[in-house]
Amino acid sequence: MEQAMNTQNSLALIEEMINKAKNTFSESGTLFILWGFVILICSITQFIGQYFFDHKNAAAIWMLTWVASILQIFYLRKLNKNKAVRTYTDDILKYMWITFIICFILLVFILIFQKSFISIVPAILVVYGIPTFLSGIILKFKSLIIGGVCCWLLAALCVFTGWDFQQLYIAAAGIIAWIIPGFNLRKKFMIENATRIIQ
Amino acid sequence: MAETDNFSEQESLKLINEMIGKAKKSYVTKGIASIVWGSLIIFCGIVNWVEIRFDKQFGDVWLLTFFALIPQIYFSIKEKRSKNFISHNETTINYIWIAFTVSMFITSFYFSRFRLGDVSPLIMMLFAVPTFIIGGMTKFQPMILGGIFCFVASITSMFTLNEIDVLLMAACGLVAWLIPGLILWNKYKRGEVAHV
Repeated sequence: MEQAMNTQNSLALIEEMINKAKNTFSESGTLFILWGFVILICSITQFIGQYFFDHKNAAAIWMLTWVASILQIFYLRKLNKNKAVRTYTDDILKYMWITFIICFILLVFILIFQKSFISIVPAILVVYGIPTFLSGIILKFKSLIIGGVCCWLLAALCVFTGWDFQQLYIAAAGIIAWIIPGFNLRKKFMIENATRIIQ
Repeated sequence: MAETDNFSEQESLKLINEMIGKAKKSYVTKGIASIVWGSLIIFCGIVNWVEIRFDKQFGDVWLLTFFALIPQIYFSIKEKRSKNFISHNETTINYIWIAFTVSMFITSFYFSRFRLGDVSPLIMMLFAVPTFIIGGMTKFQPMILGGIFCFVASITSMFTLNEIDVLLMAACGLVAWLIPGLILWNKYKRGEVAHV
């Protein structure tokens, strides 16, 4: 089968393939929204508990992240079952998120082991910034790029901020880096889905 | 090439292959970036080890790592001028390196500002980030293994003395960057010879 194609047709074919790939990665933003809210709730609760009530176990609220992790596993299993094709972008994102999860666990473990509690918040913000920024680059999604840069700026600002108030930076990162981009992703996903149905 | 030229499917695929081939011959994908970065980390690690072991002072040798950015910037600009396109893959890899540099800078700055003790486990953890992601996205096994090695070295350094930590960093430079970089460079050379 050898059909004659001019340059325009070739480019159109490539563009079509790229658009197909784009539709598969334009995910619903569910995980960004889920994690954004979990982080927001945990950090605000810890801040209120420690700052206003001097509660010693306020950090226990972070156990909520375990619940979120379980939800994420179920969600991803369901998503992978329904997915017919894995794109190249999916693969890059997979490796990036594996790296992030390992770094996050390792980071908390190292800093608790070293009893370097003062550096937990800036270190977490640095690590948050990496997948957020790179997801933005890979998906060509500006609000994620801005979110990633904001995480790094907040990490740098920790130098000038007391430990209690650093908790609020994590809450801010949850909103800027994950909740807002998550809703933007969802909006894009809905629009693309509607367009596909019309087509 | 005029826009109205007719392309068969075979020719279209050949064009795409050529573009991929050109993209492979970049500073980053040729392995030079890994070789430069790996050599520098090994050098800094060994010099730092000599400092600790023999109680010498050569200044902050790790500042040399900033010099690794100079050839990276130089070759990026040179390639941008000589090529009329940059692949999405290359762009992603460049940004992975940017993310890594920013993270390293903030972490080092924060730890030195507050004298927070041993930063080497975190630094080795960050070493793993570009290695593991780039290895995964390019399906390049030596880099994936290099990334895993950095994670293991990071955990190990929590239980070792500073003297050993700097040697572990040098080992990370060797396993995660220098060796994969040399493999890439050899592949590129062989590819080029075959092409000629």
